[in-house]
This record gives sequence, C-alpha cells and structure tokens, in this order.
Amino acid sequence: MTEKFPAIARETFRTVVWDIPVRIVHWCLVLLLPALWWTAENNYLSWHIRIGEVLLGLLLFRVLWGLFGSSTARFTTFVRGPRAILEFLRSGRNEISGHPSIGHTPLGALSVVAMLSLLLSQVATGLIAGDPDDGATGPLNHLVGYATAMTATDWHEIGFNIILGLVILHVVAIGFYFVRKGNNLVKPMITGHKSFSVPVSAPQIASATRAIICAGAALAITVWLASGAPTKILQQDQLEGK
Amino acid sequence: MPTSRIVLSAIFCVGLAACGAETAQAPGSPAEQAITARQANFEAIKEANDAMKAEAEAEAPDLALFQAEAATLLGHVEDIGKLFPEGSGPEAGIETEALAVIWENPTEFAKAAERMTEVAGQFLTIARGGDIDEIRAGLGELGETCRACHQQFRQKR
Repeated sequence: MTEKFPAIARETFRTVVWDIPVRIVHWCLVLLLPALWWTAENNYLSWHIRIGEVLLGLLLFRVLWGLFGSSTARFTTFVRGPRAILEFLRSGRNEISGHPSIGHTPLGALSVVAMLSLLLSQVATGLIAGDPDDGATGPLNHLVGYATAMTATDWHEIGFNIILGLVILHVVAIGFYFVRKGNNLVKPMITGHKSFSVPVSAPQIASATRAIICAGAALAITVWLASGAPTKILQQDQLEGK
Repeated sequence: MPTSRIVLSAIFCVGLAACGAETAQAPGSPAEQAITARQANFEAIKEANDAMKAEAEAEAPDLALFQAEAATLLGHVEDIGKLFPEGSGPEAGIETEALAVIWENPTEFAKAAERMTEVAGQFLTIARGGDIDEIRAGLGELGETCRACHQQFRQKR
C-alpha cells in the first residue's frame, strides 16, 4: 500500500500515460469504424475496402507498437494473468506488487486484446470476402474458393455486430468510470496526460524513430496485402510444384 | 473536464441513433413494392448461384443440386425484365442501386435481361446433362452475364 495523501494534495502527480502513436491509433479507430459501417451499409464497397486497408495498416502498426513501443502500449506490460484481473476486480485498484500502475488496468487489457483481435479478424475476413460477379471483393479474394469467400462474407457481417457490442461496452465502461469513480478516461486519451493522487512511475516513451520504423513496416505489409501480392508467392509455389 | 465527455457521448449517441434510423418511406407505394420485389428476386438469384458455386467446389458435387438450383435461378431470372416498372428508379427517392439508364435506354436493358434468361436457360440444360466440368464452365458464364449487367445498370459498389 502507498501512503495516504491529504485531500488537498489530490491530483498533483501529473504524468504522460498515452504516447502520441497510441492516441492517433485510438482516434483513427473512432473515425474509421463509423466510416466502415456507413460505406458497407450504403454499398460503397470500393470505399469500404480502401478504408478497411487503412484500418489494416493501423492495426498492424498497433501490434508492432505493442511489441516495440512505449511501455503503456506494450502487451507485455499490460496483459496480465487471471489472478491480477481478480485482484483488480476485488480491490478496484490498478497495482503491480502493491505499487500504483498507470495505463490499462488488468481488466481493460482484456478489452484491448479483444478489440485488436476482433478488428484483425474482421479485416482478415474482409480481405477475402465478396463475390467477383456481384460487386466488390477484398484484395485477397482470389486466393480462396467461392465457398470460403461466402463464409468469410457471412462472418464479416457477424463480426461487425460483435465489434459494435464491444464498442458499446467500451463506452459504457468509460461512462461508469466517469460517473461512479469520477475518473475521466477520455481526457488522457486526448492530451496524453493524467494526474494521480499518489506518486506513479512515468512510462518509458519510445522514440519517434521507433514509431517511424514500425509505421514503415506496417505500411509495407499493408501495401503488399492490399495489392493482392501473396498471389505471386502462390504462383511461384505452383510453378515449383510442377 | 466533463464537457469533452459530454461532447463525445453526444457524438456516440448520434452515431448510434443513425444506425437505427434507416429508411422511413411510405410503405406499400408502387415504387417501393417494385423495389422490394426486385431486390428479393435478386437475393433469390444470388442464393441459388451461391449454392451452386459452393457445390461446384466440392470433391463429389451433388449433381441433383445443380438441376434444382438452375431451375430456380431460371425462374427468377425470367422475372427480372418485369421488375423495373416506370417510376421505380432512383427518382422515386427510395434506396435503390438501379441506375436511371435502365429507363433511359429500355431496349438495351430488355436485351440484357433477355440475354440473362438465355444463358440461364442454357445452363439448365447443362445442369440436366450432369457433366461437372461443363457445369463449372457454365457457372462461370452465368456469373459473367450477371456481372456485365451489374456494371452497366447498377450503381458502382
């Protein structure tokens, strides 16, 4: 346990929590998800696919950033075991071995992992979805058979509803924190900074160079996938097989 | 700062409300009935086509399925020409992907619908023949005929 501070000293320990890349990815998701829903709903599928490719790039970047980025962005920092989750649910405090911890709570970490996994699966089904004779197809549709593409298309529709459910849960949780705990989670996601009533250790913020390298790698993979490039490898394999 | 919270909640609420507020058109107007009917007809065509395309990929395709679905598909394809009455185009103000060119150039559209019926009829014969390679090739032609029409007469997706 940390020492108690008098009320007058509340919220005096200000530190950065979310770095710029995490915030950019987050608010891009807020913009892109409604755009993806709207373009799908109104059958602007070529736009839907383009925006989906942007989302793919963002997600790939976020995964790389979760491996190589700032400490509060890293999976190894915030993904915790069931014991930590139960302890957090019991105490309501985000602590690591008795010390207050900043960034995602053990429960919030589950939500982050779920959101990233769902969005990546959604992009994956989108990449192969569609019927070439009936409108648009994902850039990797030609790699799979018709039946697989149909199943992917069905799952792409189901997937949206699951994502919507998680988004609603996410927003409700933010509302709960604000109303019941007086904890504004939105502001730090905008400004990057948060004030604490107890001293906390500041996160290690990764350099801009690192961000640029991760972004470059994510961009390269995205461009490769969006151009349907794995075809060339498959064709090569087939040629070698013959 | 509660204001930013409130603004964000408002944005989310508006976003969610927009999801629910689909089309609120006068139900049962002739244009709407026509649009609903033709969309259901195309859905049925797609369903039959999907079933056959998937079956064609199976290791031992069920040949009876092609006969049944090809007949269903032909039945729906024959109706296409009748399902685009005057006034059921984009000018009706109801959500439709049908382009105005259908009514601007009715002979062209009728020709395309006829061509589709012809190909679907030929495909039924092929399906009855029971040669899986011919069926696969036939499905390809069927799909191309669908697509040609979509490109000319349907809003680009």
